[in-house]
This record gives sequence, structure tokens and C-alpha cells, in this order.
Amino acid sequence: MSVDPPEASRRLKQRLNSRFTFLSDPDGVLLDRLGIRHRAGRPDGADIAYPTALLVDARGTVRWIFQSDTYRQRARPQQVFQAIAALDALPAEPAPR
Amino acid sequence: MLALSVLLVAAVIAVLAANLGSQGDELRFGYQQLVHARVPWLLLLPLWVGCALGIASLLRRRGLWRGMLVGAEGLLTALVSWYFLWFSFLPAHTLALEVGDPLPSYALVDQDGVLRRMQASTPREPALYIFYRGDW
Repeated sequence: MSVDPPEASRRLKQRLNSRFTFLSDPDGVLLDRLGIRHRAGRPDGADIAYPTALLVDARGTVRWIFQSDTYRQRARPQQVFQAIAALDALPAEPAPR
Repeated sequence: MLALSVLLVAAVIAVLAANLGSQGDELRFGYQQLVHARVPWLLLLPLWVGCALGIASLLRRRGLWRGMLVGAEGLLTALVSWYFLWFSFLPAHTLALEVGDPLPSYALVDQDGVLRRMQASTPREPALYIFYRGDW
């Protein structure tokens, strides 16, 4: 997910030969809800996202978050796999009343 | 001493150059440090040692070419250090949710212009959301 328009996301998806869905949030609506809008973070002064990874379970609950204080650092693949494995290991929650 | 200095600095710069524009090649030498280390000490330390050796070499034996070489090493070392220790760090901010919170609702278009809606706390496939800075 990024503030890039769909065309830019499509080009990136093709270039990376990725199977992920690339969502566009050009106005930063979801970024504001999550508190991850980096104002004037792009070289041209546009707002972008603070790099963030969220793992969401089948109930829509956030189960794992990765953020760094530097834009270079990304979660290691094994960290992500561990978070997914922990998701599978969680006991089923009672249904909401 | 000067040869070792040049070797160290050149090796680090070569690793940086080789990873420039990398599209996620985990096996490329140095990639782990560049992408997964908060501060890539394994690249910075050889650079600093190389630069220090260059300065020590210059102090022992002066010369125009030697001075220019060590000056170039110092400039590169300063630029790389500035990038990794200051420029790439983000302003402080506070995430508006934490583990255990529901992901907020959204209605956003995907790369094909198809609207994707998701209501908070509704059943779904588990998913990993990666928010990235964009492609420019």
C-alpha cells in the first residue's frame, strides 16, 4: 500500500513480477487512521507512508507490527514468517456477542 | 598502509554500488546489512578503519597525490556515514494503533483501478499489509 496512483502501482507490480495486491491511498486516508503519514517525506515534498508492516488475522485484528526509525530497515523474512506462524498458533477467539 | 586503506574503502563503496537499485535480492553481498540492519555497522566500520589508515598514512608521508586520495576517501566516508547515521532516519511519530486493535475500515483502489473495501472487524483472509514509501 502506498500513495502512488494505480498506474504507478501496476508498473511496479509488473516490474517486481509480484502476486501481491497493490492498494493506492493517494489522499493518505488510511495513513491518517494509522498515524503513519510522513509529511513531505518524498523528495518533491509530497506526503508518503512511514514504512510499516501489519499482520491482520481473520477477524481483522492487528496481530503483529513492524516499524523502524529508519526508512532503510525492513522486517526480515523470518520475522514475518514467525509472526504468521504465531497467528496460526493462536487459540480461536470467542465470537462477538 | 595506504594500499590497505584504499582496499577497504573501495570494497565498501563497491558493495554499496552493487546494491544500488537492487530489487530485493537477499543473496546479494551486503544486502542484509543495507536492508535489515538498523545501522549497517559491518559496512561502516571497515569504511572508518580504511579512512583512518589513509589519514595515518598521510601523516607519515605527505604528498599531493596521497593527499588527494585520502581526501577523496574522507569525503566518501563522510557522505556514507551521514546517509546511514542521519539522513535515512525518520522523524519521530506515534502509531495510532497497537497489536490487538482492529485494522480500520478502508475503501481503496488496487493497481487495476478496482475498488477494494474492507470493514473493520469483519471476517476475512489473514493478510500482511506492507506500507511502503512509493516508487519514484
